[in-house]
Amino acid sequence: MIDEWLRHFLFVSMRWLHIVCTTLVVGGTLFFEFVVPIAVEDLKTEQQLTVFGKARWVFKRVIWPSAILLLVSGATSIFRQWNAYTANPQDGMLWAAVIHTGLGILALGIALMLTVPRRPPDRPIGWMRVNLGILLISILAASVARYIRLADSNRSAPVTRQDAPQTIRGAILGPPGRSD
Amino acid sequence: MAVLIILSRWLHVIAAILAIGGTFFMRVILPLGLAQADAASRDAVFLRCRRAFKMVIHTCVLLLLVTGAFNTWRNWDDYRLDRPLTHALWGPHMLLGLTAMVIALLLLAPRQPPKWHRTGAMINLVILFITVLLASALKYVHDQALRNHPAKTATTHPVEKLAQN
Repeated sequence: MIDEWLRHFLFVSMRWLHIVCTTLVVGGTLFFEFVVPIAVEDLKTEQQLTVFGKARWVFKRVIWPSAILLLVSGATSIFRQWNAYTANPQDGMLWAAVIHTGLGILALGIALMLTVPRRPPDRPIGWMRVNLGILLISILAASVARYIRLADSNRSAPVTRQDAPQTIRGAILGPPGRSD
Repeated sequence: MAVLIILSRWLHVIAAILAIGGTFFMRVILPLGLAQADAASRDAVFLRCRRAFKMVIHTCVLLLLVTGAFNTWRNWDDYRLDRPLTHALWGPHMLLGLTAMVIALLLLAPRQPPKWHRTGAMINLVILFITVLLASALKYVHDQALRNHPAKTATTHPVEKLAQN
């Protein structure tokens, strides 16, 4: 079994990375969409394009690692909560998690589509606006999933530690019923 | 009540995301984006961005204080399940959050950015990242405490009782 401290460190650091990467993607997208266009409107067209191009180049270097870390940390979180999600499919937690994951992946795809090619697509600001909306709904779905999970844990016994220690999940999460 | 709890958490996360993402954008992405512009244009664009950032930060500070107070009130009973650890994380989370708010307000208060604005923004970014780390650990400890003591948690929270009355 993975040492207890290592398990705690893994899950806390993964959650931290998930939030930090979200701040960089969402905050960056919002400023790119709302603030920079207004701030550069007095500049000449060539200067505007230079500022946008350079900022897009820097943003690309932030988006790539953020997207990879978001996927890894999100997968770790799903892995940890899987039994809770599947224990009671009628409570909506699984659906909220699926919506959060689906919209998150869609938003990352749009962000990569906007920043990776050499030339931005037509109407990049419009795409970013759509992406921001998707990201906000995705975060809302995560809040709903967490609320249902906490409400469930108030009603029933713990469900995330039912795996035997010889299984992969059990090795990481600890044996059933083990107290921390 | 469920809607209020979800909304409060969502707004807390969104406000934190905008504050941290905005600080990162203003400190890292924007200066690099403006590196090739002439000095006059660079200053003008930076000041315009700073004005917009100031409005975002003021709204975020208000939302973080209101939703943070509500979330603490809502979770206070659960924190008693593992008092030493939850309080050891909640206290520094709140103190560092307040410190970051004060630094941000001091940085953005004057019409022109103070001389220490670059250093201040970088220090604030580090403080904000540590604050998020403490919040992540607090959430993890909170979840663990609920799992280990499901029967001890009140089924009807005082806030919900208040709403029912």
